[in-house]
Amino acid sequence: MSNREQHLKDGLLALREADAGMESPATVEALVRSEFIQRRRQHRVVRLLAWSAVAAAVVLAVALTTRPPRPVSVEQPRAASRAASTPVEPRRLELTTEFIPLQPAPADPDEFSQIIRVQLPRSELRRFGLAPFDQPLEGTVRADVVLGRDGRAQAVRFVY
Amino acid sequence: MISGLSDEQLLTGAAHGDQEYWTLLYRRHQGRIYRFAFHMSGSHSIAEEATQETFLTLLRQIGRYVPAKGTVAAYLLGIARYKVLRLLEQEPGHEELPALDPAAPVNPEEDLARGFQQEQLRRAIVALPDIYREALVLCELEGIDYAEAAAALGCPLGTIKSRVSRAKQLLLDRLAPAGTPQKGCLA
Repeated sequence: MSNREQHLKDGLLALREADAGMESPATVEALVRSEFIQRRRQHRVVRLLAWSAVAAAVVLAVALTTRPPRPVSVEQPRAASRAASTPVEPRRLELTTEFIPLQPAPADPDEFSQIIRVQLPRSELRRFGLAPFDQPLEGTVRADVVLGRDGRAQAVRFVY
Repeated sequence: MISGLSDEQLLTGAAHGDQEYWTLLYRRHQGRIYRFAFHMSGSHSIAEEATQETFLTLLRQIGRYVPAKGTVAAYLLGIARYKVLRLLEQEPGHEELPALDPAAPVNPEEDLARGFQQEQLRRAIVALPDIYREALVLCELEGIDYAEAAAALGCPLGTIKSRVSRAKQLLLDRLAPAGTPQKGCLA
C-alpha cells in the first residue's frame, strides 16, 4: 500500500470515529413511535370490524339453516273450524276426514300459514278415535296438517 | 429482557403491535441509518428526513421483510439508500458542508492523516458517483462487511469490492495536490 493509500485509509478511519456518535434527533423517534401507535389503533378497528362481519355472517348462516323448510306445495288454508265443515278441495278425488283441531281455534284465520301432506304412523288414528284399540295398526297413513305461523300444528285430517 | 432479542424477533413483535419491540428496533438501527444518509448527502436535514422515511416505510411494509434475502439491517439500509437518492434528486444536500478553510495546508495527503481536512474528505465522498459513494460509505465509514453491503445494495459481493476500490481511487485523484494530473472522472 502506498503512502497515499495509507493516508486515505487513515483519513477514512478518522472520519468514521469522528461520526460514530452521530444519531438522529429525538423528534424523529417521537414521530416514528407516534405513527406506530396510530397504525396499531387503525389495525385494531379494522380487525374489530372484520370479526363483527364474520360473526354476523355466522349468525345469518345459522338462522338460515335452522328455518323450517317450506313444503313444495303450499295451500292457503281457511280457518280450522271452517275447514272442519268446509274441507280444502283436494287436487284429485280423495276421501278424507274432517279437520280435527289440535289447538284451540284462533280468532284470526290469518294465523294459519299452510297445509302440508305428511305420512303418519297408522297407530295415530287411535289418538283421534278413528281406529279401535284392540286391532294392530301397521304402516303409515296420509294426513294433511294445518300449520300456524309459528310452525305449530293446528289441525289434522286423514286421507283414506 | 427484550434487548437480547434478534432483529427478526423484534420485527415480528412489532408486527404484532408491541410498541416496546418497535422502539428498541428503531433505537438499535437509527444511528447507522442516519450516518449513512448524512455521509451520502452531506446534509443533516436530508439525513433526518431519510431516517424518518426509512422507518415509516418499514412500518408500512412490515410484512414484506424476507429473512432469506438478508438481515434486517441490510433491509433497512436498502430502504435508506433509495430514500436518500430520491431526496438528493429533489434537493442536492452537500451545500450544507462548511466552507473549506482558505488557510488549509497545501499537502492534503498529510492532512488526511491528521484529520485537518475532514470536511474536504466529506465533500470528496459526497461528490463521488452514487454507486461508488454508497459502497464506500457502507464499508469504510459504517464498517459493514462486504457481504452485508452486497445484500443492502442488491449486487454481487465482487461488485461491492471493486466499487469500494474504485471509490478510493477516485478520492485519491480528487484529493491529489494541486498541479498533479487527475486520473479518473468524477460525476
